[in-house]
Amino acid sequence: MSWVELQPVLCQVGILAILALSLNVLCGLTGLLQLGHAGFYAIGAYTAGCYAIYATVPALGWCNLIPAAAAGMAAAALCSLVIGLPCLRLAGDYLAIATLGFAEIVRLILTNAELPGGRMFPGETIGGPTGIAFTEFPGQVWPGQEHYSAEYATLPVIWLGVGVTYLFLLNIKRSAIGRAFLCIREDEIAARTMGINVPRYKLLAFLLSAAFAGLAGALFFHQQLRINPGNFNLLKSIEVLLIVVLGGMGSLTGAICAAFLLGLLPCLLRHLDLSGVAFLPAILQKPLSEYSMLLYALLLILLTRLLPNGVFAMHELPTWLRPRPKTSPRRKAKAPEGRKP
Amino acid sequence: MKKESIRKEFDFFFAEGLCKSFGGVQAVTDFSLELASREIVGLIGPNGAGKTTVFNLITGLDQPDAGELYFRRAYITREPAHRIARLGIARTFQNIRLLGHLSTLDNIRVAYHSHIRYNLFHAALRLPRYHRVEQDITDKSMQFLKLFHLERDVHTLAGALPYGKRRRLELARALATGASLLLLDEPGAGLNPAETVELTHLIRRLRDEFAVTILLIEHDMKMVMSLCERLVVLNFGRIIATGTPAELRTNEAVLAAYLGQPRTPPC
Repeated sequence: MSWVELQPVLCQVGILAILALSLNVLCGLTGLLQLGHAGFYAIGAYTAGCYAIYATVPALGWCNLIPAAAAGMAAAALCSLVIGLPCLRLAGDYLAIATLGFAEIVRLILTNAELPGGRMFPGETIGGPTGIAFTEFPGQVWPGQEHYSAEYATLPVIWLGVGVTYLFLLNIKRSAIGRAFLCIREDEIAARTMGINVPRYKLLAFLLSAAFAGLAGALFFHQQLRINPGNFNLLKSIEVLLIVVLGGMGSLTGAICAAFLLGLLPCLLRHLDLSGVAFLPAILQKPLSEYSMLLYALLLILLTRLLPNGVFAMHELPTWLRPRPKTSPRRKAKAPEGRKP
Repeated sequence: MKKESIRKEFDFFFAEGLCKSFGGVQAVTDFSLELASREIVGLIGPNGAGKTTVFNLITGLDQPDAGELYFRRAYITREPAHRIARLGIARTFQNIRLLGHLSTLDNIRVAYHSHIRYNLFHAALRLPRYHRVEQDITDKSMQFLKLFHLERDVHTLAGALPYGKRRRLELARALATGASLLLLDEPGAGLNPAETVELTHLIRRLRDEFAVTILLIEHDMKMVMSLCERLVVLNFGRIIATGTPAELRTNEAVLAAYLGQPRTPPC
């Protein structure tokens, strides 16, 4: 496998990792099942696309990525508030169905809505089933920039995004906010009696999750430069959920590792060819990548059977790699002082 | 006018005329209770008398159909549970509600939630305030664990603790919220006699050291009689008697509720 072939795959893995990390805040830490993550991903990607078409400043070069990503995150976060306020009252499976409906609505709107081409594509329309393509830059708009390309999201940039997302969310997981999320997941009634404002924290988890999905979307647009509503279908949501479950609900490191595994799997399977195997019937003599959906399903079944908590459970390291915690307290605790009444 | 006079009279905790029905079942009817600061009061009654429902009404987990609640001069009727918890009412549950997949230490640290003075960005960027607050609550949590003899289990998952320790951990967590009124729902359930005696001493010690008021539901009469200064007896959602343990020992209504009525008086 050559580097040229591997590079776009690793970019995809990075974007999948950001998606899985963001979904993990909601599904893993807070315990809310979400089947519409692709909806927020799409909103982020289309917002970045619209920014590129209408507002990009070529002189800024790669710095255009910053407002594009910020706009994508903000748009996704805003939508999550609109969806979250009514939907988070639903429990369990009902929330999953509601978010699934949301993602399908987003996809259908994007399929049917067409926007004017602006100054980039005067007289044409963008959006609709063909989506947004920004692969070449019309030279007549800004003379002297004919060889302009908006492909800012290169491999290092995407993995920088993964790193920032990981650290941001890990720090939150290890703070009082993360403890509140986990408390809601473990026992909502106990959370309420501990003084945790449950609806507010659920909304916060929803918002954080959507914002980072928006970041993934913006990076996706600037890596592909060509997006259409088909990129954001239900299968995408399920793929991300599968990564979260595989890595372990609540484990951020697990999410990245699982994104690697599931992201590289189709690429590896493409190199394993069954066409030379004589004893198989002709209909099965295909590259293994043809079977990838079948293998995904098999993986999911085996996973729920063998590792119901995922590879990493909710921890950042699997049990056999974790240092044994000291059982004695870190420092000598003093006798508690009496509180004032 | 009436509310004003109530506030002056009972400045710690006061409930008046609480009613709650679930469908056709009148779980609690006209429940009134006042508590003075640093009291230990027992709430007893046969199974299904509505004791836990009273706890749910006080902590805001259920909303009363009628009646009023005051706590430290604040009107808390129909307030959401988290706000009541912030005002200083904490409880334990009959079927222990710990966070099973979290460590013992984290179970206590969750209780400090309403005392956290940093926000999302302090946490995400690890600003100095985050470290200061976290160090502070970790130290305080360790002190609580030590007080409850749980210091050897700091990193054990709460779900993996033996039953007696889980009971103690839940009690520690309720106290760590900084509450001044503790509602204990059958703290002695499932404990052996030696553990029950230990728990009795512990509860009394908590009242003395932390100046908390304790309202407890308990079926172990030995524990109730030795611990509580005052008892409230419920049956079918109504208060049938109140008084000191000694007074209630011979109260006919209480005996009838627990043992049934004699059909014919023996000649």
